[in-house]
Amino acid sequence: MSSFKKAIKRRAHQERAQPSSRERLGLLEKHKDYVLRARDYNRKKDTLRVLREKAANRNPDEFYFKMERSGFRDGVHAARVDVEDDQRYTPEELRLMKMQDINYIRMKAQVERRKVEKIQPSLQSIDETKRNKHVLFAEDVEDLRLKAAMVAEKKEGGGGGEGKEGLRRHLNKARKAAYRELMERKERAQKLRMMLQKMAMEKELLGKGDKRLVHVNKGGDGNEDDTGGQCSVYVWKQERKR
Amino acid sequence: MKGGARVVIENHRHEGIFIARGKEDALVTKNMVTGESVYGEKRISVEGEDGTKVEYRVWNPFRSKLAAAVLGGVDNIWIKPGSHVLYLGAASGTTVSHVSDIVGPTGVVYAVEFSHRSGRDLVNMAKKRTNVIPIIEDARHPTRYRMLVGMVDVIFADVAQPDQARIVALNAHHFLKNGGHFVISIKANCIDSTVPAEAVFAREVKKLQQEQFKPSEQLTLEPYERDHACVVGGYRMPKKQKKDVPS
Ligand SMILES: C[S@@+](CC[C@H](N)C(=O)[O-])C[C@H]1O[C@@H](n2cnc3c(N)ncnc32)[C@H](O)[C@@H]1O
Repeated sequence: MSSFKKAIKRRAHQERAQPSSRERLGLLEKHKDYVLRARDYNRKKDTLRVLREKAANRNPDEFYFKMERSGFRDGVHAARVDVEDDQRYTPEELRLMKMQDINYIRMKAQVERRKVEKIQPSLQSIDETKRNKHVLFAEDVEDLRLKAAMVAEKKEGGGGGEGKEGLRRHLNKARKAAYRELMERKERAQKLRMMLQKMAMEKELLGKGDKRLVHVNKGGDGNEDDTGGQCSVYVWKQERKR
Repeated sequence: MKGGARVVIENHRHEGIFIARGKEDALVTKNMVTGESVYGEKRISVEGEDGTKVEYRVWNPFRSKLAAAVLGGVDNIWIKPGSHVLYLGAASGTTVSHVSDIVGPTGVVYAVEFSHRSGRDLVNMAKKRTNVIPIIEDARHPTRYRMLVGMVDVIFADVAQPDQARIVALNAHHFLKNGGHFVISIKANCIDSTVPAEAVFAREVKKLQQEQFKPSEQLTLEPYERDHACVVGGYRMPKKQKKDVPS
């Protein structure tokens, strides 16, 4: 019986909103919001209390060897102040890591290229105006005029508006989406290719050989998330192999 | 049917060619060999009003100059259902397969290719398509295959050779009926890479005119090919006619 009672639609109770006169205070806080806020506040308060107690009970004679290497860097406690972040890896290790990144990006670029290759052939922009050059040969001016008119007329009368209205709209939508996808994939493939170039350059710069910067390119300063311009140009010094 | 048709097929202005509209926006031809692609192209299956399934193949303009010409708005390709076509420079049969679709079971495509390597693919393709007759010979010597080829309505040439005009003329003298037509694709680089493409096309047209060909139109194949042109015209056209191209 009680299950039947539940099945009957009951009135939906709506939440009370913040009165417009108190709108500047943001959304109206509900009890469950308050609980979360209070819990958070108390947790932080407790943490601070514990830390204060620890500081008060500190033994000034306590010593660990780790203390020799740790300290403050930029006002923040750091486990090791004697090494800079980028010195943690040897050039060889860095090169290897770069290589792995490059391989990943290369794989992604390839996937994108394949996708484009797959959908490109069936998106032929059939109704778009042509960009090519069409020459007609004719015996004389009169003939030419006739032919040109005929060709123009035929070119016009292509691509019917027949078919049901709803279906047509549905198909148009699908087609638009397909063209958009193609464009986006092409763009992405292009970006990935640029990125790949830059990363390859960075890897080379980490490698052996004397090199000299000959041309700085503003857009592409080797930033990995910047895929705008091109790489800067370096020249490697010629080296006798044997 | 759930969701309705995902694609509709429209007739193209050229008989035997269709346009698929939906997620695709592409030229297609009716597949002669249902269930098989020739060069990895996409197939589209459509259910007709009477419930029968018809399969179409997407015609890739990046792979086929004829498709590029059709998309470029060529006025007439003269290849239509029932046509007999001599195709010079068939390569592995990419375009030939579509021509075979267009001419259908009542037409014939004689596909000439001299490279044995490409020829192998061509022959394999022709095994499944009864209207394709593969000929592995040099198109410069039409006498070698004259036993195999009958009179044709259209010659299509895409041999990419400097003496293409002469090759086409030789074959036309043997096989092209009077009042027949030619469609040739000219790659400027292959003929003379030292002069501008336009000049090369003009020179080729001149050569054709000297061989009893009467070009009627020429169009470039941008954006699919660079410095390529497609020239279409008639052969030994009857003198004095009022209005050709009935359509
Ligand atoms: C540009 S490809 C043709 C591509 C083909 N029409 C297509 O769209 O799929 C040119 C072909 O002509 C062939 N060819 C060149 N000279 C030839 C000749 N004299 N006789 C026969 N075939 C020739 C070449 O081997 C090559 O495969």
